[in-house]
Amino acid sequence: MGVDQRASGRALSQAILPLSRERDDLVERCLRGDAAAFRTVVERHGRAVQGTLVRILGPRRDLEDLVQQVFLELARSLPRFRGDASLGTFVVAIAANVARRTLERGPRPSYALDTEALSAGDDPEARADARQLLVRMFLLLDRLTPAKRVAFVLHAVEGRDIREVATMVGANEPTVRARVTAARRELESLLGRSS
Amino acid sequence: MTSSEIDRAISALRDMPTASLGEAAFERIAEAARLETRRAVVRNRLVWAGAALALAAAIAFAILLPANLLERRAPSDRVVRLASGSTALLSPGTVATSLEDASGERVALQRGVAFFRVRPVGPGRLFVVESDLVSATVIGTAFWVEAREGEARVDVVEGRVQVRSRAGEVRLLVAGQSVAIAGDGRFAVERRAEPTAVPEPPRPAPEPGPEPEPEERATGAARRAGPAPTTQELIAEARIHLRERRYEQAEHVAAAAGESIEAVFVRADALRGAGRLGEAAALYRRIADGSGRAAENALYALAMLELDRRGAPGRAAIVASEYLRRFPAGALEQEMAQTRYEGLLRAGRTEEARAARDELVKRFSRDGEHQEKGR
Repeated sequence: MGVDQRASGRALSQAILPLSRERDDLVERCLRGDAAAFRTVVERHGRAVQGTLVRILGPRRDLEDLVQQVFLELARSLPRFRGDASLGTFVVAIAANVARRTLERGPRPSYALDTEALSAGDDPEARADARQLLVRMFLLLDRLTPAKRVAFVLHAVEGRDIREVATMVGANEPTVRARVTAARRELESLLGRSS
Repeated sequence: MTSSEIDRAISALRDMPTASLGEAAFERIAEAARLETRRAVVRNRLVWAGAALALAAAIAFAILLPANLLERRAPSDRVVRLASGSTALLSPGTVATSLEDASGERVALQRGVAFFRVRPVGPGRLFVVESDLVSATVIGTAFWVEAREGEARVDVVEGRVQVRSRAGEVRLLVAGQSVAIAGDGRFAVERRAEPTAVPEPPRPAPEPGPEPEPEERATGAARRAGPAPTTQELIAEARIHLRERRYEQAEHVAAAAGESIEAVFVRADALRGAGRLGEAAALYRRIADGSGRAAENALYALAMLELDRRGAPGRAAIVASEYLRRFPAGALEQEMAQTRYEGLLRAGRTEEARAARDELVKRFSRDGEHQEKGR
């Protein structure tokens, strides 16, 4: 591990220390098998997990199973969770990893299945436009490699900074930056060709 | 599409509704996750049960660690699965700790001997083993590290490992190479290891007699002068080969040990190690078709083989179902129920997976509550 990485790791640890301490108790209770503690963790982070999965993969009928996989992996990892990142970041990182593996397994479901679930709002015309745009976007995202797609969604869509994304996906910052830039360039090129 | 269209699509993606699961789903998810934390305890129980049966199969069972302290006090080897999915075989007396973070996984070996089989850790991530005198960074896949008072040693079995001594010297070792580090933190010896030959003891002139059986000729134990090795000696030798990842020799020696359950189990483990998964599965199946704890352990080994090595989660689920049907109160009941669920989930058999999870939660949650209350 380089000096810079160690320094950034320390800075991150210091920044989240109060949060980690607050969560220590929750993690400890989970490790003791406390059902209420697990419910709290799932209630607190389940929506973020769903959000990341849906934004990366699109709406899916097996969403509950994917969310379940994320929390099963969290349960296996909890004994080793040291509070170096917040529990929320840790869980979303697992979700991103589950999403990437799901993409690598392919094949994807049809995005047309759940178009009603794709957009919110009262104006039917605006909803229809948004749905059309989203379906098109997911079809284009399908053309990216899983690694680029995950990095792009975490950074460009969810607004996480490059360093956080790098931590989540286990890559260094220049690699993540390159993936995001390449993803955007490829999307623009694909869109240019399809319009 | 223009940049602004991309930006509009990104906004739509950001704002799309994503929360479709309700409270009931969260409840189910939380309970299944809670049960998963108990799985490590069950797996530990499995290993000790296996040891009691002297079925050395315990070595084959990768178990999840309940904590990141790796310690082997009992007088036998133990395989542990690390956070990154790699495995470590710890010799008796070994003490180490493992820590996984964004940069990869680090194992601090305080004392003892450990063998690591490292899964690909992904770009930008490292797998490092450190002792007081040396650190070894994995570029390949399998190596030994030994840390003793005032000396250390690294032996590479497969792939490449970058070794850095405390004095700052760096060596890149490839398969078959070793390096020793002296107490001053410098490399003491570096050599390309040759296959360890068993020296032939001086023999009297051969007596006329029948040619030895091919199996006898094939084993190191049989080459030694004196009485023919016993089955137990052959099995012990096969286990040593197995431990040192000499799978072909292990299989050969185990085959010569005969057809006892123990010998067949070691042979199956060797075949699995050698990547001859179909043959390994056939032998596990042969034991599984018997009865008793050996059959239980063989079904477990078979399910894990299908799930983790053969990438056949559906078959793993079938094996787990067989276990649950045949051994409804078996020692591995919960473990196999969870394996069945995981197999179904990974096979994409969503409806069956959900039913399996509900059954799992129904049966073992109560058990968990009882245990909690009993404390």
